[in-house]
Amino acid sequence: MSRGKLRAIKKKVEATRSLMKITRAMEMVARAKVRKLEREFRKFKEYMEELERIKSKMDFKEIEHPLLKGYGKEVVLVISSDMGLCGAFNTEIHKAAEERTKELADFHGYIVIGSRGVSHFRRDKLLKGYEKLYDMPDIRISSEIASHIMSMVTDENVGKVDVVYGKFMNALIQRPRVETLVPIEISGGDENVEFEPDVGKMIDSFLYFYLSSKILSYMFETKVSEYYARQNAMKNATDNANEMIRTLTLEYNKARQASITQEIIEIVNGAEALKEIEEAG
Amino acid sequence: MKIKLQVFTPKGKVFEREGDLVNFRTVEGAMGVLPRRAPIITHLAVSEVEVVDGEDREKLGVSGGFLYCDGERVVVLTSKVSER
Repeated sequence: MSRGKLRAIKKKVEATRSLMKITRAMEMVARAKVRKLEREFRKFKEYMEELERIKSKMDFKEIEHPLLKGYGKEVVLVISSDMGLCGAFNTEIHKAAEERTKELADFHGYIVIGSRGVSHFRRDKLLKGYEKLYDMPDIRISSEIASHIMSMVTDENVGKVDVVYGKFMNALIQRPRVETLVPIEISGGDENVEFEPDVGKMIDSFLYFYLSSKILSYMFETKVSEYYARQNAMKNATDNANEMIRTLTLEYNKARQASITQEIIEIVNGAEALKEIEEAG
Repeated sequence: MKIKLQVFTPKGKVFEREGDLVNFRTVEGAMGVLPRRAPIITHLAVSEVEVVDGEDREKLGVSGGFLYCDGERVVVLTSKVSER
């Protein structure tokens, strides 16, 4: 066994070890970030609960609004992540979005959040892409997206918007999910409630407010899912690297032992040969 | 009986206080609500929401938003509140 093979194995072990350091660091970063993100998401949910309550009290029956009509061109809002290294998380979201568009009769295009999604849909009816906007979802960003959707609904005859996002099931499972964003789902309302001003006058601002908050809630959930997906992917990568190092070390030791044995054989043979020469002489 | 003012933003509940009266401004003008008021939903102007508790008053700036009152609670939803 040559010295060259030993050196090659040693190099591989070192490379794997430094890779493992990276994956382990990524896992720990994701773990730390998700904790903060979940805290913010919990607080946001209190707000969203109150907003849903107000919406359920509002009586939209007599109201005509482009966000409520439900016919016209169809748009798909895809929420993916800005960074990779989170397993199949983004790929699954993209696939779910593409499958959804196949079912649509009058598909207009995609609005995409997250640079992974933007680069995937770049050549495929991308209406607007939002890249690297946030680490922590923020109402200012979701409002911007909401006003873009509002303008498409009023000016471009868009009547339906579906959202594809990463639904958080639990720490180990995150699934892409398709939900209807526009038309906004309405209920009967509560007839005991007064309005100031009339529902007709505040509907525009209210629906915009609601849409922004709803988009924000999808952004939050996708972000939480993304971090958990990254944690799992990086944990698997670290475990695999560990296993790889173990196998390579074993191989290295075997090769080293083989080369030692080889050397001993050579020395013994040499000594034997010398002895034979002496005896003959 | 008192009325409780709660202010929520996307960052969670940022303000809570009980009082005798809550004053605010809708897009159509100033309003105040007392405990046991009939349910109402209003569209707030960019203004201040004030809770009056006896002699004490506390104000909070809001960037518009919506207010819901059910007679016991006044819930304000807004995207941002001013620093106190």
